[in-house]
Amino acid sequence: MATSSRFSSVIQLTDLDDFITPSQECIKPAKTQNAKPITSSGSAKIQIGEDGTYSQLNKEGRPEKLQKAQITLNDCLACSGCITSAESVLIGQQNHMEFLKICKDIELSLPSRSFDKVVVGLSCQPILSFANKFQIPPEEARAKLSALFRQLGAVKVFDVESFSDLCLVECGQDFVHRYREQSSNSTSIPVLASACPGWICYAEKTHGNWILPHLSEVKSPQQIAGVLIKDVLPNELQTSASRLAVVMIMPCFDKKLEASRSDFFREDQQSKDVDFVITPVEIEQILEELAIEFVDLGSSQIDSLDGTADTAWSVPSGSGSGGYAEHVLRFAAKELYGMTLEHVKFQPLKNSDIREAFIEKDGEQVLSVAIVNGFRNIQNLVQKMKRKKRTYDYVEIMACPSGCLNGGAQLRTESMETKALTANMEALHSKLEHRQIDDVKVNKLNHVWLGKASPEEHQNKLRTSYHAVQKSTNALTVKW
Amino acid sequence: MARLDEVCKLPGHQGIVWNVGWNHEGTILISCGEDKTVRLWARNINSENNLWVCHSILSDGHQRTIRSVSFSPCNKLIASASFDGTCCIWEKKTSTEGNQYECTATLEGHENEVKCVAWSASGSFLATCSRDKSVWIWEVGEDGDFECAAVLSAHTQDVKKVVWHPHQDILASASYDNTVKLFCEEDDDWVCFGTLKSHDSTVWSLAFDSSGKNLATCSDDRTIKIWKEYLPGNQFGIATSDNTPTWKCVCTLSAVHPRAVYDISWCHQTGLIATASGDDAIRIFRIDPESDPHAPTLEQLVTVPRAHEQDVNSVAWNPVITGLLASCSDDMHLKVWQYKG
Ligand code: SF4
Repeated sequence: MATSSRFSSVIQLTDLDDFITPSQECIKPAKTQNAKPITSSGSAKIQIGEDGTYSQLNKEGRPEKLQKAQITLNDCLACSGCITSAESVLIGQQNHMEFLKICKDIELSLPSRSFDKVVVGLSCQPILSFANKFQIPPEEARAKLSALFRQLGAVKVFDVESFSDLCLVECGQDFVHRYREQSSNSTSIPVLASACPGWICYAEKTHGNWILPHLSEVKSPQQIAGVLIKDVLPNELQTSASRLAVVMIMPCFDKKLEASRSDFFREDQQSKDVDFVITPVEIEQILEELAIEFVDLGSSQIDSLDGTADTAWSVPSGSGSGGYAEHVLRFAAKELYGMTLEHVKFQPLKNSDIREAFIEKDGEQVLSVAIVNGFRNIQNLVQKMKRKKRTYDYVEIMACPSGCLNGGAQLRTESMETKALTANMEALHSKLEHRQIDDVKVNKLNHVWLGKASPEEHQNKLRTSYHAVQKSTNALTVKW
Repeated sequence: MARLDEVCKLPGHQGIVWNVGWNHEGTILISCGEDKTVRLWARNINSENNLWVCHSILSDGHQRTIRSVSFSPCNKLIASASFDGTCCIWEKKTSTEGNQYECTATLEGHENEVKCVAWSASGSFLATCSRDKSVWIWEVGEDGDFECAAVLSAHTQDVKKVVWHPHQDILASASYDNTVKLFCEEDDDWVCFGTLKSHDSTVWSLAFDSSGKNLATCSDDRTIKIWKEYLPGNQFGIATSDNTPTWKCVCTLSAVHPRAVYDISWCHQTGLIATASGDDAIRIFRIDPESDPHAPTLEQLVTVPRAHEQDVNSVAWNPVITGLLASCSDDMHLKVWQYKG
């Protein structure tokens, strides 16, 4: 069953309602830029012109053309009326063509350009997707992608994984804190990972208030990277945060939803933490647009965060989605029970998309974590939680079956079935160098970045919050 | 001349009656509707004229219209699907006061209205479908737990009906996207292995024949169609792909139903096909035994023009008692009919 959507299937399922198409019945009130308050009594008269434009009759009875309502993706996300339009709204809002235009504007130093510099974060899943499609070693794919973005004008290209450690350390600490709190707080355990926006969107829209306290408040590596880059780099690059475009290369469109959350917009700098999310399918389109063959790309280095030349590539040990469950288990075992785990083995249950690992002390299970991928397994977990059954202490939840390696916007080859494809991707991922968190490095990075930050500021940089979306039940939409 | 005689008319529901069915022994008639109740009806053995009477009302399980009900093959469980987005499992508890049904599980997960629920022949699976365009397969656990085994988003619109193959774990679904999809289990997941396209409008319902090799569908386009399964390597030259069978439309009956056809039931004993239609009529057909099995023709045997006072929503042949048919309607009534050939 081929779906052409670049979103996770969870997003596709949530509140998609084709009976209400946004153009016809979007329930968001139209906001007009220069809306004048109607002070006189009586209702405003609105005319629809032959060209389909809306005009409002002013006091003298002369028509004034009304602004077309702009509905942003964020409006769609916060609304439960429909989200069918999300994909098209998104494509309008941050498609790769817009990104290309920005690169071009910078190159030509156009006065009208909206950004001055571009910084790119490459996530490992898209790299592996190109490696798999073109049958080249992942290191080579990584160097080629880096070359492509430098060619487009990026002043820095980072691995998103170099920001992962900040995220993982925070996840571990958050978990241990909540684990210790569980006797006094019934919603502290299980802790559910929040790095997957597909899952977050589903939790906020469908389950809302009862489940949100279980979500880990730690931002995803993408968002942490955005904050850090905009905090640290403008100085070095002699620009401001709002003039620096942060571009993340991610495996799904869901990550675009994440980047456009209003929680990730900084009022003080009037800028988004992450300005663009570009996915492998769009990179292919960019290549096509520029008439470049991927294999012909040169190779370029990746910048390291601390400016050292140490650019050996490694990814966090554990799943291809970012290794959350494995890190939390290791960290908590050490912190809570003084145990150093050599090997963490996740045991598949009913299907390979639900895997669990636990540790025992004196023959008793003291910690249990799981990796839960794909909608059906998320469903079963959520329903168990709802019925107050025991589940796990920590769960790495990812909306895509097989997790991020199988993201909705990864490259597919027609000749290869999804199963074989994910098996290949997993094999490629397992051969990468897997690292454990290097505390020294993280502390150094934290010091450079957050050195003088107060605990509140620290919290602001690394944590976020979630909001339930109220369901609207509109009797008119009933269809037999 | 073939006839369809009305055996009895059953009032009771306080609103539209959406769905009728039988238990697998054919002794209990089951119905559900707008009044948020499920009703069980049995033959009153004391009455001379063999009337059917309501002996249990299952209420308080759902908050909105109940659109569909289904008996498990073991007859101990009933599943009901509602517009409140849930599906309830009712279990038979025998006590000194007789049989009671209790809601023992509520299956949640669909985003909105659940349109249909069906038990697989093996009893190991339950399927539900919804306006949210998805088809869900639930695995029945030993401890009475239901686990979601698959969420299938193959349809592009509201899914109206799900029906299981009579012998295998194969599911067919009918949708507002004008297609029928077929699903089977592959490794540890369920996959869509066939899309049946030919109807011009919503496919409202579908029914397998007793062999499971033929499928009848009915639609808002006022036609009914017969589809035939062709296995890979068949000797009739029908192409198949990926080693899965092809389902080919071998017969279309149009110009008979003046309105939408809402339901179709294929009797596994007699091979008779009954339809429920928006023109208030019930019609009985059979496949002309003289016709070519690869291009069969349907023979209309009976029409009961005003079978109900309003739309007929559902028809169901009794699985045991030959020729006994149940129907229900917007007119708040059920009816039981006897076919005489
Ligand atoms: S699992 Fe990964 S790829 Fe899939 S939606 Fe979530 S973040 Fe995106």
